[in-house]
Amino acid sequence: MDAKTVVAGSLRSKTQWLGAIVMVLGILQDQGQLLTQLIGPDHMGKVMAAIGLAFMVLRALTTSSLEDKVPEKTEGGFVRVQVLIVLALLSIGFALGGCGLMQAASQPVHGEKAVTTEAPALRAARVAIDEANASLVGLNTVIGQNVESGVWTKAQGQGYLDESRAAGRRLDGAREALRGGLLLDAKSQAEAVRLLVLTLHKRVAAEARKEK
Amino acid sequence: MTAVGVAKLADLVFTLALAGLERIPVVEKVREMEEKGASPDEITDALQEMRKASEAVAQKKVDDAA
Repeated sequence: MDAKTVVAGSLRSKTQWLGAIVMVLGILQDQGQLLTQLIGPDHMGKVMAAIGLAFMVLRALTTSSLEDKVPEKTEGGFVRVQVLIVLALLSIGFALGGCGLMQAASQPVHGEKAVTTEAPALRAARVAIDEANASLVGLNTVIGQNVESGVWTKAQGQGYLDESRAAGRRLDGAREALRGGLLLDAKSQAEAVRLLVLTLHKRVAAEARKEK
Repeated sequence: MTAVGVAKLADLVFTLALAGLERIPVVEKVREMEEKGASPDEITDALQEMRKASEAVAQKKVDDAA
């Protein structure tokens, strides 16, 4: 089987397509911790298991070799579109990986060399609060910029800002819980706020893309 | 992969890039405080103040908008 046959057969293989998608996600995870940010570090193992299961199911469904998938006369249009999509995804992954934005997105607020004598539970709660505060600063900045530049109306900006403020108030509650020694409460509140901020970020980005 | 799937992935990438860009000054400030030996409580309080300041700045921009 020559390389051309492998490529042509791969473009018609669900297993190969899943492999390509996992490869792109892997690049983004490596550069920007995309999956970790989306689903949280606690669920990475489940994602890996799901990917493994998906490959097992696809292999069970597979009835032909890559060579058999290639028709005698290659049909062009659909395959060319798929190739373009893969190339676009790979470009996004590599470009953002190299430009530094993705690294910044995944960069934790606290440096690895930060010296702390705090107990692990206290540290975890504090880091959750600090990360959520940093995320809200980023969100507020984007809101202000979009309103100032006229991308959004005053009402749109005020709506997002009100949601950001509400998240900030919850974070203040988490800070008070931390002061009061309610570490689990503080951590869970801060993590809920972080999730809320990520959702808001996604809406803000979707809105910004629509307005372009 | 469908066009919707590609759009969703692109949206996620864009979101994270946007979020990352705006986090840079915050992260730099925290690293600076860590280097100067600030306590964890001081850093947490500073971040809280930065968030409140960013709310105020955003509110002013919203108020000033036509």
